[in-house]
Amino acid sequence: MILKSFSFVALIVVVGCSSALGQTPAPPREPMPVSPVSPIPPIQPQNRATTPQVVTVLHRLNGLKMFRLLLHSEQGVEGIASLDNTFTLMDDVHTNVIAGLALEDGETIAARLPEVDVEFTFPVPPPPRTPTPSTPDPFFSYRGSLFQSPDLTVIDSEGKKMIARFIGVDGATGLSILKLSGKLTAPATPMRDDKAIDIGTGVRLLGPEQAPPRRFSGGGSLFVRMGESQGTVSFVTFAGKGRVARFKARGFRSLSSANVGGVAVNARGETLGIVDSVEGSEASILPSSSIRGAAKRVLARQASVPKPWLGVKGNPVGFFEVSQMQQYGWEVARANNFVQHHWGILVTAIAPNSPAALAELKAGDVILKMNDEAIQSAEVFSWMLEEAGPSSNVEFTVARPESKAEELVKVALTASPKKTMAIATTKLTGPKNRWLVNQGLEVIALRRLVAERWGSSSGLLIVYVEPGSTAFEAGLQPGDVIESINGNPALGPISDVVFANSTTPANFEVVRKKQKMVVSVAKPSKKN
Amino acid sequence: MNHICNQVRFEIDEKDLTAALSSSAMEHLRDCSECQEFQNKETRLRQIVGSLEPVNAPPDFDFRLRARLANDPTVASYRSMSAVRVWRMRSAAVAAMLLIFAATIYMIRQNQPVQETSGSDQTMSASNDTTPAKPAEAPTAPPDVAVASNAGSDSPTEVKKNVRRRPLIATSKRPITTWEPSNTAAPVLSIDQTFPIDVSQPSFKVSLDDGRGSSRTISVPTVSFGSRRVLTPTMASNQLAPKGDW
Repeated sequence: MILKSFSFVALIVVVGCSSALGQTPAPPREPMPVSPVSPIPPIQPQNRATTPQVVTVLHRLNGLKMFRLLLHSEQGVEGIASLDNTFTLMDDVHTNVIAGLALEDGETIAARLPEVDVEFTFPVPPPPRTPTPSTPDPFFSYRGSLFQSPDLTVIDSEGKKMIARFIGVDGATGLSILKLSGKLTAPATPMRDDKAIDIGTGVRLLGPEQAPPRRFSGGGSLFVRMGESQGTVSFVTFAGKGRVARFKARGFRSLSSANVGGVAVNARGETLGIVDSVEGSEASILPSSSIRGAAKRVLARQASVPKPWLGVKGNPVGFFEVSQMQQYGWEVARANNFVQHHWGILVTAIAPNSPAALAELKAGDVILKMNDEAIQSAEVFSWMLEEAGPSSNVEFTVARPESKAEELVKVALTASPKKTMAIATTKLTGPKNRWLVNQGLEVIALRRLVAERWGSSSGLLIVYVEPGSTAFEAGLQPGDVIESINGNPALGPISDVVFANSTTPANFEVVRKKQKMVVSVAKPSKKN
Repeated sequence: MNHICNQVRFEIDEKDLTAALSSSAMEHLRDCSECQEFQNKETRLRQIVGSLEPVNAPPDFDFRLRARLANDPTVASYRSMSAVRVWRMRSAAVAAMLLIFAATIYMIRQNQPVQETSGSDQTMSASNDTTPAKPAEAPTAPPDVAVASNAGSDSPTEVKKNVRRRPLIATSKRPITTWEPSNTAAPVLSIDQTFPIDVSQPSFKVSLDDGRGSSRTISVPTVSFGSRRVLTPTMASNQLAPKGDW
């Protein structure tokens, strides 16, 4: 049998080689008659155009950050009752794999990282040094500073891995901007001008997906490839002067929330945008001009840029019935006119002390224009505010129920007040921990069995310390377990009474790396 | 049933049981009784399947299965047979590769220059006629388009032959790319890149306590794809404001 196989292979080799190598050189062929000025017909692409600008971003979260994610989730967590034996505090427990878009410089990456808000705001100065006991316990295994940059790796289209530095998040678009430690192997394909986006334009949606494992690949590795789905542009939202605010695409073979963050390119591989939401069978895509804008804002500040804040709630007037507008004081005829023409935003509520309140905008006002550009939809209004950015002055043209003439209202936009998660989680942590949140701390209770792994009997595990807070300045760190404050058990109710007076600090009895220590935290001033 | 019905049913099929349908699908469902019935059946079926208890193998199942396989004489004979089969398949694979290699060489030879000139200004023959062709620097020609030319030639009737332009073929281990020479279009990739990522970390499993005496265990997957939170965020911690809130 083996002999037969050998003879078969030998026969194939002889036939193959004689046909290829033993051949006489091909006779000169008659040249093709070609018009002197006509270009050579383009080679028809047999496959898809390459997209070296689409990269894979790996965002790894350690155990501590996962606790923070738990606190911000809808899990309703109050405490940790038990933990897996293999769990260690500072080792990676989760990796998010997402598409990233390399901008033309080949170093800047824009990606929609879903879990970036559990990272520390950067740049963060290290807290004052407090004596940190060293311990060989692998449970803690601290690698460098607790306030280090997020663990981000970028893999380019050629498989080259690079470390990426997190610069900041653009609050208006939700895009994170990263800087690569090196250059991409292949130059990034330029972004397509938004003007080329039209209904019917072909869209290729790219994003990393799990690939079948290779044979003999061993354990611990997962194979990833760039997945693709094809559809067409179904709707374009213009924002005046031919600019595109958002566009939608549909007709994809499969579309789910996992496609959010994917990069949309055209048939030639040029970038059209990044998917920012998926509704049903339709993907809403942030155009390339908005991506450029986000990168520009973050790079100029070298830090996160909060979302611009106006402080109003409302909806396009087309959403309302005439009777609903009457409730805001509108006459029937005027209300009818607005509802039929479907433009402008009807303000339904104003946040106290917001830029809108300071500019004396009121519920019932209809914002018709911003900086003399008509507001045709909610998306366009959002886009206009994003473009303006926080700390900018804008001018609204407003129609009011009590006045027939349109009025000009000047508003100074500010940054979104939800600047830190510590503030946002005030509602989540309950009154018991609210006091700690106000000190700049996010904590999670440890039950007895779990606390023992930290070398404590019970207490509150610090998962986040707000940079600049009094707790941060005092040197409290994520990973510390607060057992008591001025002798009061940390698991009991805590309030300002722990501060005897404004000058006496509170003593936090904490366990750090299984060693007990006391950290004195000053009472925060009123402005904090 | 029209194409809208098809789209709506496709969406119902694709959605999770708890996920909301798109507004257009909801609108269609209000008016289409057939699609409503389809949705009801789908929901019932999923609920029934979801309510089934998981079937667990006995704890020693793996051990028993392996032991039985090891003792089964038919499996042993299959093994000896499969060794021969594997050898045959490998031989066939080697032969196929050699054939492909030979075919590639043949193709390259076929695409070799028809006739090469010794000069540097290589041009392509316009035709058999002797009409002087436009010079290479004609402004209408794209820069990398070969044109007929008699520049540099002493004889007006002598038309230099050009080489046939060959496609550029990457010879590195990287994916083979072919470039479209007539414009700046993106290159064409012929194979997909697949690369490994390290996911050796243990999965995150934790038992949570709601402060009212009840606890539950959650497990977070080691890897997630796309821009969706691995744990559903609260509205307060959502990065982007809800619609209608500026």
